[in-house]
Amino acid sequence: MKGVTRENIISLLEMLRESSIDEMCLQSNHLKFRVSKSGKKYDSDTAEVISETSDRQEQLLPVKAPMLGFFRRSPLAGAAPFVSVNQYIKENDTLCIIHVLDQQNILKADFRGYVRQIFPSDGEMVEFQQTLFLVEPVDNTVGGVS
Amino acid sequence: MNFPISRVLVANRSEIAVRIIRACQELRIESVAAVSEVDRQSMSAKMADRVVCIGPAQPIRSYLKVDTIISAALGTGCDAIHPGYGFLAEQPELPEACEKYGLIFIGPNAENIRSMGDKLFARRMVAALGIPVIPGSELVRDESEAKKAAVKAGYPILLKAAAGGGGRGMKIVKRAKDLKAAFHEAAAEARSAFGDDRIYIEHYIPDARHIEVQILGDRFGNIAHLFERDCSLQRRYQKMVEESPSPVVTDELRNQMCRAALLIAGNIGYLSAGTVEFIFDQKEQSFYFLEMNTRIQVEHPVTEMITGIDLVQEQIRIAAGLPISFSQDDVIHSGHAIECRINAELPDSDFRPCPGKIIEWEAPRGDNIRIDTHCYPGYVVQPYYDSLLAKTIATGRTRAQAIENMQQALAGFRVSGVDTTIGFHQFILQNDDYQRGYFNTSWIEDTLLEKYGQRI
Repeated sequence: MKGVTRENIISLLEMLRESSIDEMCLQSNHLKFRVSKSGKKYDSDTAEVISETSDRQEQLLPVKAPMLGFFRRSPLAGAAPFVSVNQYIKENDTLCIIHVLDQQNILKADFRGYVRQIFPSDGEMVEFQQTLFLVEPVDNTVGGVS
Repeated sequence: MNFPISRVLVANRSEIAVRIIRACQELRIESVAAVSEVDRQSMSAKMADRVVCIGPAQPIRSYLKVDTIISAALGTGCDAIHPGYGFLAEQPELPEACEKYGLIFIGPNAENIRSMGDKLFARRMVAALGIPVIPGSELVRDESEAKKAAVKAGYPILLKAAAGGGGRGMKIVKRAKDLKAAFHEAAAEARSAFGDDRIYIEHYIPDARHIEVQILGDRFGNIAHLFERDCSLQRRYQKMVEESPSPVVTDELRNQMCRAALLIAGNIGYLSAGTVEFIFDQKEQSFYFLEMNTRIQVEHPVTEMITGIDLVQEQIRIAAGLPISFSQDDVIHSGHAIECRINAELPDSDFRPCPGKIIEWEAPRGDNIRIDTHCYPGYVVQPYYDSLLAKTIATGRTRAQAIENMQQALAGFRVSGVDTTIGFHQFILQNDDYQRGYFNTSWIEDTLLEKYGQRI
């Protein structure tokens, strides 16, 4: 829905008025449009502009915590992290350590791609199956780490 | 004194997790529900102040992982862990790890659990106190030792796993010629259930009641008993109906059993809630120590209903370093309480568990009824865990009234989607022998099941 015109919006509103639908939300890559017949108000932040990256966002694969434990981004306190945002990773690269009391569980990548997001902060407890990273795979044929 | 417990990790599931969270709420303590992946939608998860997913459904990868439970408590800012019953409740490694990481374990100390978990040690210790134990043996290592020990104990005998509990690894042998096969079966079962195939032999008492005494101990050396529960109605060593007071326990017998329980608990400096189990030989009118369970038990509400004492709250207070909130003289039993354990099982099909989605769930209400449950319409009974759906507790001024109230309660359930044992419990309750209190630990299997199979 690139290049929405005034006419587009007016015809949409007319369609809504004549229908039995009370509320509708339309979303594309660049625009989020939400109207309601009940006079419900929306905060400006719910009508956020969807960024250019949303197409890519959908292709990102989550890397989830295989166990509950403490998330460590680097091998030692103060050391450089294993991975940073936008870093390229390949199979068997260490992503993080999940610390469970005396055990250090090393979490490795099993596909190639670019790390686009890291959710937990260093030292935070992560739950079983909590998403730790979002990775943009360079080869779509492989699945995510679970 | 500042109350040192402000947030409790509930390391369990189902009705007991709900029960613990409720006790926390009443004490104005926050609770964190440690749940497996399939328990995210459980009632305890909805009730707790926070939920933390500890692992997949299989208990060995979630509820049974000491390191994970400790990490979950530390990571969510808990200062204490309540283990409930089952899972890690009687694993000394959990209180040990709690101590190491500065957490409070709401339960006995590791030494209490170890000494009573070793059934042979417990037997020797209790016998040394002058309390009768069932005639039996030390460990038997092979068939020939088993043969000698069986003759000494006197047939019929019971083969038991030294690391046992819950009836697993237990075999009744009535004649010497059946001993060989039973011995190997019991050892194999014990090995697979407990990773320990050590077996010992006990004389088997055919006309037995299972009578247990609830006790509480605190850090100041105070030990109190809260009278007995009669848990004789069992199937395959799994309790089905419990009550208090026992219809066969006289005041004198009650006195003796409660005193014996205090002596045993006092001797090991017992901390928190525990249960001393006895076998009462109805023919000989004598009782014997069976074992001590170092946890809060499934059937604890029966005691709560006749004494008015909240056992889970007492556990939390004791763990926080407070003394027992009452003295022995304050404990009086009034009225009668009965509990039925309602399971998702099919009685007509050898009590096969029937996990699945509960469509309709309506539990009875009333002044004389208490329901401890985690079920709700839409809840999915998981195949990974035990099949307990609800504990129905009915009270009355007399046993007859409690039975009547229980019958009304059972009739008031509306459940669909899963099969339940409600009908079987109704069948027990309407039985004349049950109503007169004439039963023993094998009554359900020896007598009632057949009648149930023949019902119209």
